Amino acid sequence: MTTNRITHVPNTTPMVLVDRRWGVDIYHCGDGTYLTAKLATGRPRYRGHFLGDVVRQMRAVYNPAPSVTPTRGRVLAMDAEARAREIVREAITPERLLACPEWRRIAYDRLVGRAWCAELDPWAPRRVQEQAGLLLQARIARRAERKARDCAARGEPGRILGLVPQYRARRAAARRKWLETRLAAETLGVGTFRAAWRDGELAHLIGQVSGLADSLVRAVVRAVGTIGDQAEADLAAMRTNKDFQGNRGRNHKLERTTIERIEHLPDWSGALITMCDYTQYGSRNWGDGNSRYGSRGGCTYRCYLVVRDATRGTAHILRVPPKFGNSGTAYFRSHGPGRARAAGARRIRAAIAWTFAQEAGSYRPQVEA
Amino acid sequence: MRRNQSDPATITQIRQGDVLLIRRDAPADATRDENARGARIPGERSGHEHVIEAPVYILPSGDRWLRVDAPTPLRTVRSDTGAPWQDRHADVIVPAGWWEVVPQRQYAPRSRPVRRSRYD
Repeated sequence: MTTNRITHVPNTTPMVLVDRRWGVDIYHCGDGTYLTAKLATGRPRYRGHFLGDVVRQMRAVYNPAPSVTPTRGRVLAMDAEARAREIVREAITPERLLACPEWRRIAYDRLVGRAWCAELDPWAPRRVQEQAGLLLQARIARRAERKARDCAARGEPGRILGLVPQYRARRAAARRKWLETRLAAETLGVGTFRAAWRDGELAHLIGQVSGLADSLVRAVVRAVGTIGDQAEADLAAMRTNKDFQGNRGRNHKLERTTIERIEHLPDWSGALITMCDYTQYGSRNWGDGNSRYGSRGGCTYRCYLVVRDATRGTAHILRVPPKFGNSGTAYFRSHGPGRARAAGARRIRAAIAWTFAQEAGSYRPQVEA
Repeated sequence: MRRNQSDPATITQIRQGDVLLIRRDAPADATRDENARGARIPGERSGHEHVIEAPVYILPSGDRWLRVDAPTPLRTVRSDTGAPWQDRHADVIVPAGWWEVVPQRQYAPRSRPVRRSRYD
């Protein structure tokens, strides 16, 4: 220890004020040492070659309460420990505590109760710890709420699930599509949908959504025309998605089916329903041979055209190529620009013409029955 | 039934349910199919058929067109009994001319193509 307690300082020594703590000025002397000066009555004075040593000596004597006096002058040298301790003691906030990855980990372990961590104690006052704990608890509660609201269970085969989720970007996109679907149904004016969507949180629960999505498809078909025996059979085929039952391997599973988009002609004489089948290849059981393939998978689109019979007013459901409803295709992009409703109607008319192997412009029947 | 108030000679496309008739120009070369009396197109799954009686001609490309000499009805009949079934679709009078029959199709991946029109 190079600090010496002194009782006399010659007035001829040139000094520069570098710091002030506990009401005591610390000067940098001309001989390269630090000195406590402004000699208060009855206070000891210290002299040393390092500022940290001087501060440490002073803290041992004076009341180590946080200083409210701002630091003045040029801090020529202060060891890292004293500087960090001072910053933490005076300026740390819960947000800053949680912004630092290391401190956040410490706070998380300490406050969530995974493990006791004594490291946090000297670095943050208890008030900051408590506030950080409240922030953490709020974060955890929000995360759990989002998870309960958005995460879909695995789809049962034969049911149409409504919403997607897992990743934030996909979740946002799914929510947009869900709103589009909701708008389409409200345009329909079906009372049950409006009542169900009034309490929108229910719609995000997967059991409710499944029923709603099934009903939504049925309601769209009903808006186009009456549902006969053939339309009933087609609706059942839409739910079961028999195309997926091909021999693709035992580890290729259908995760869920979602409604991608619903578009209709202005007079509801035709509608286009696009559904998306999310598939997964591999197993979710860790350790078996296929667990590494869990991330493989993708989505396939199914597009159904609903048209009205001119004679009886019944609805016919026809499956058309997915390019009419898959926004990732070049066809969709080339027919998509412009106002959304007009683009949808254009694609619906093109899909109707496709069912007769005609181009969109060349399909113009003058007589229909 | 929707029908424009236009001259039957100007009608180029007629649709009855899932059948579309398209008027064609007279082909330069076509052979009559003596075994066929007309076209019969099954409906989707509801047990009806679209029937029109007219001479069938085979083109060099293999396509079959109908030559309608006089206005002929396009009817809907039951598949099992052949009885008229106008509840399904109203009859449509097809004007004279050459007509191609186009049945409505669906997108069916991983399935074999099925020709739904029969000429007999």
